Amino acid sequence: MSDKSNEQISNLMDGELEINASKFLLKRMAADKSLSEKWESYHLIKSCLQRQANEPLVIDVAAKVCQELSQQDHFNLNAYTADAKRSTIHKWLKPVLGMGIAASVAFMSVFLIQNKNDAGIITNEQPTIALQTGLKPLPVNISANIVSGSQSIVKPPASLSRFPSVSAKNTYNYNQGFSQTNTMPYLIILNQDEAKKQLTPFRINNISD
Amino acid sequence: MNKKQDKKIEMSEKAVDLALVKQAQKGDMKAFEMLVQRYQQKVGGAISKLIKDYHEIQDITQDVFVKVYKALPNFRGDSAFYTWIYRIAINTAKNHLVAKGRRIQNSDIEPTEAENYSGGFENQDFDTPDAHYERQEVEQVVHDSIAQLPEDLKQAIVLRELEGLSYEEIAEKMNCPIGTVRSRIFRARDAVDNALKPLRKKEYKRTNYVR
Repeated sequence: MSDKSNEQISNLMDGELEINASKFLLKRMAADKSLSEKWESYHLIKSCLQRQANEPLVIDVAAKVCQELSQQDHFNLNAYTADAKRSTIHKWLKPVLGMGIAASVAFMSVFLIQNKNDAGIITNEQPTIALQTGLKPLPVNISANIVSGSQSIVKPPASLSRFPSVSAKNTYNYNQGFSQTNTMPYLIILNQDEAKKQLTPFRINNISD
Repeated sequence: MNKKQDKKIEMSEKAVDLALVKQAQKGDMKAFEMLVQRYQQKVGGAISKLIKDYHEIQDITQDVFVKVYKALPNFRGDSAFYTWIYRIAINTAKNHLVAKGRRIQNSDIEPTEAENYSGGFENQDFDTPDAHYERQEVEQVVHDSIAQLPEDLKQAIVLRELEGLSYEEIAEKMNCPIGTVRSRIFRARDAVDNALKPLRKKEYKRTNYVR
């Protein structure tokens, strides 16, 4: 152990050693017992000089602490450090994960509703029931049933009755026949017998069962 | 060596602490031991403001550093290392007093005030006669060897340790380059360390600590 190393230790403990030399010396001290003993001794001198008259001189605590820690075989600082890092990650991960789940649920809900609506949306390309009366054509997916042999009942798509605002832009204007409250479940469009008299027969394209 | 050459960026005392803490956080026990050696006196001094029995002070100081070691992963370096361990020390001492059913006095001392605070325990005997004698012997050797130092070395070490001046301030006061101050302070410490060697050998034989 050279005097230069000892002088560097003296400078280091006062915070007066250049950064690179400090880093190098700290690494050396961890491995070199004689250097670390010098560090201890210089600090003991410091303690003796700086100690207040009413304070006891506290020495040899370091050795006892290290002995106690080494006896605690179950204790592993690396595990504690890993736990601390994990808990730090969890601190910010938890809300992000929560938000992610909430966003996924919201996205899935919108997606499913949209799909459900798409099934009931009426587009211009869809087959229509064309009337010769000059009225707008009826969409095919409005099922027409003969009720009690004389009345044809048209059911509006489920999407219109449950979510009138969602698919309004692509839908047939049912307001003509609906009441103000928009709750009318069935729409009687015509009497079959009268229709036979007044209208020419339906031209039905691609209507399915 | 002129002053310009000495104008390198030094690692401050706080940065030295932080470097040691980082090493200790990686599991380097030697680095932690160095931190304990650095702060055991200050921590013991802070605890002595609340507790007067020397053995209790020694035990609590030991407990404090065990707690500090276990809490090291939580130290992020936002505050100074000593401020952090000071809080742990005061809390440990308070808990000790509560556990013993004793009254807590002067619990709101700040770390900066602690060094000048007597705690009302002046002229108290902290320890057993044997232990007291040993410590007194160490202190006597330190003070005697400082007194025997050449005047320039003595002045440099006193300005540093007792006045708390930086090397630059000492250089101005002693009208010499910083390099000379470094050398003087080191030589003073080395001289005292040489005087302590016989005592240390005796102490190691008695305590028989594993090192």
